Amino acid sequence: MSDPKRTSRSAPSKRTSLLPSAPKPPCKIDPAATIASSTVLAGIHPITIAAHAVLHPHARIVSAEGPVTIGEGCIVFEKATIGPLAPSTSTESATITAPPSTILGKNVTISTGVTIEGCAIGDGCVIEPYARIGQGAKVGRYCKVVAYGEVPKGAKVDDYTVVYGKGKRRVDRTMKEWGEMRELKEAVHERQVRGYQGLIPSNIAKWS
Amino acid sequence: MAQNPLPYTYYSCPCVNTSAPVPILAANRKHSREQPPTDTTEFDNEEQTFDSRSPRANLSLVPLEHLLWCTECHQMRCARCVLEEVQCWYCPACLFEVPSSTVRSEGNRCTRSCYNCPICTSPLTINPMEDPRQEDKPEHATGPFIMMCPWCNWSSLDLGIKLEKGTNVTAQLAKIRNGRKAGKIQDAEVTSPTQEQPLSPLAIQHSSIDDAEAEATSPRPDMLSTDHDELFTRLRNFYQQQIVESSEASMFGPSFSSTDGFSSPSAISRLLNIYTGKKTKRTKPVPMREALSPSEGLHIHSPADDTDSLTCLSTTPWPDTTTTAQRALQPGDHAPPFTSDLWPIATLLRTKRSKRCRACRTLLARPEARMNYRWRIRTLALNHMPKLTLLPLATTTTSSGGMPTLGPDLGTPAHIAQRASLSAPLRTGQTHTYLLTTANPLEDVLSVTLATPPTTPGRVGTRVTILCPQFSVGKNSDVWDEALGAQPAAASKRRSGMPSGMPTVGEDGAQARVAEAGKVWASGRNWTSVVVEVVPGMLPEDASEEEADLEIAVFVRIEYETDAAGEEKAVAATAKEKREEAFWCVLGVGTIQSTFA
Repeated sequence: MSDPKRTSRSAPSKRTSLLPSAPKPPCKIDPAATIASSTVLAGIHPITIAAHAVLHPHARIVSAEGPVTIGEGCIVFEKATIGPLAPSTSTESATITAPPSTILGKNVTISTGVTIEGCAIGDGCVIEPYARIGQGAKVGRYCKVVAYGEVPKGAKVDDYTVVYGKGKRRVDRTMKEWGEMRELKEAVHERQVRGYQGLIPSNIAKWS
Repeated sequence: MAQNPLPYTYYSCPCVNTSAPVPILAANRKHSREQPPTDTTEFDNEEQTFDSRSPRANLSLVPLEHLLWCTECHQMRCARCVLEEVQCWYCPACLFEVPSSTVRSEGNRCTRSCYNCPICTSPLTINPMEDPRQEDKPEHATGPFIMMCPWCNWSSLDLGIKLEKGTNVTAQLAKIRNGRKAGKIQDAEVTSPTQEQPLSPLAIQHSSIDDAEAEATSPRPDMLSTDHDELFTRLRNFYQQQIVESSEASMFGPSFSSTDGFSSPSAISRLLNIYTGKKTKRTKPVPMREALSPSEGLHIHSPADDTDSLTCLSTTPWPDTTTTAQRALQPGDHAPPFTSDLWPIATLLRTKRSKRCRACRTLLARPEARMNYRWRIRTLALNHMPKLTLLPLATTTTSSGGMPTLGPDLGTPAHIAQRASLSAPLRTGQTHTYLLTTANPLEDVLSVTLATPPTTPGRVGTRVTILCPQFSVGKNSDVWDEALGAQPAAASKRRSGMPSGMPTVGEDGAQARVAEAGKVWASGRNWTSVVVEVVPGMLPEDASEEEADLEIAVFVRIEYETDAAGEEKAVAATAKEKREEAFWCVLGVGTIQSTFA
């Protein structure tokens, strides 16, 4: 959203807010990760980002309610929100002693507009655009949640499951039974990460 | 029709009366018999006003955008009164056209590489199974290919299928499938050496139940192949042979066979012989027998099959069983109970159709043959009939921002605001004023006559008055004519009784304007607006939702003079032809608020 008029002035190109900026969350970021400067990292709990993770511009990592861990080689697209947003005031959260943590495994793809609320997502999962994973859900390895799909609160999704349609599930036998396909998928993902690393200017210094 | 966004205008296609004239007359007669005989208007269809609530009306009311126009009959044509002709078949996935001869011989499915997922029906992609990390990658993808569903992740690996090439998938799949079938048959032949043993239902009847059970558990003699196609071919061969054998012994003599056909010269000569010649000795035809062995196509249902599938079903989780829809989509008679046996579905072809008028067979729409979605011919009613739009007239509003802009450009924010006010319920007994705008798509000046029943039919009885039912609408000339040269002429015509200025009602001075009977509210280059007064009637206590929706039926009659069409043009270029068209249309106004709520 760069206004040509604004950039032509001698003033700094970015508008700075008059309000004091929010305190940085305690971050532990691997130097091999790629984080765009307009990515939002906020909250009070620690945020851990492993090597080769790619956070697109305008992705939001919010650790206000609990720690967030992003695994190796994860890709988080724009407008995706990871970590619970609303302060949990319900009775069920009172019973949980530890803050709900959000953990993404290795090579997870979180597409545009996805909302991930305090849950665990296994290796090699693909969460398609505008899907929603509820609080306390557990998603296994190599799962897929299709666009606008929903995993309800506290639900458990087994390994190699495809969540599609209106709450339908099926076992992805191709991934389950063919190790070759899993390797292939990993290779494709790696290539994708490398592509994004070249395209997105990283600004880790802003957060560490 | 309450679900339609207000305001709406529906045009009544006259085909609803012409297509079935007899039942209408019969109904009217029956009706008139019950009525006093003085009510003769019941007989005449033209004298009746259109009732938008009648069940028949629902079939004829169409938005203007959906109507075609017959240039010969000078009438609108709805989907019911056009004839459709299949012009070509094409695959929606690869957009290749398929000749109709191929469709007839090979069925209406794509025979190239287009397949749909058997689980979720989305189109499958064909991907190479090669590592993208490979350094010395060839230019074209090599190695095995698989079919993958991008939605539900089904892949042909679920069936254990890898394709050698990425093209011509149909042939490869057929080969794999036939190969599997052949493999099954070979296995069956090895395990069942007693396949020629006759096993008819009669034989089973004689043997005891215990014997039958023993047979069921032992290697079955009917293991030849239980495939439907195989069985069918064997049965057909058997019956053909039977026909030949029985007809050999028939009265047509030994040399006659069904393969000659009854119309062959030899058969005809024999027939003639029967009637003219001497009586030959008639031999009694040998009765046809039924299939006795599996090689003849006999397939005995074994209870073991059922128990097998039942045990399989009881051990398989529910998501692994196929749904009815999935089974119905499978090719041929292949209806597997488990998802692991589902085959990809070849994409169904679609058709491009041309449309003709039912009355005169004139082409109304004809798609272009090549791979695109353009039309070679398409005569839309939109370009031949006046477009009527109803909008509320907000004369009492004081804020100038929300004032409506008059005219046919309906995309302005003012009109969106008006549409919002349309959703407000109508009050019984209160006068609501609306602007009925008639836009002219023709290049001739229209003289329009509007008519509507003074009260709407039914129990509610809303009073409707069109203040200026007769007016003319300017021709649809070039937009620039008005903007550049013809300003004075247009200005003198427009806004009778309105001060010059912007064509908005909300301008100062215009606020006090009162709609006058017999005067056009406003007009522009090719549109004219007249005021309609609506006084909603009283809703009965037990009124249905449909009764609360106010619809006004308006009879529109247009007259115009146009250049003489077609062949007469050469004779007299200046000759003008007078045309007259008339139709009913229904304007959706809003919902009447119930006074009982």
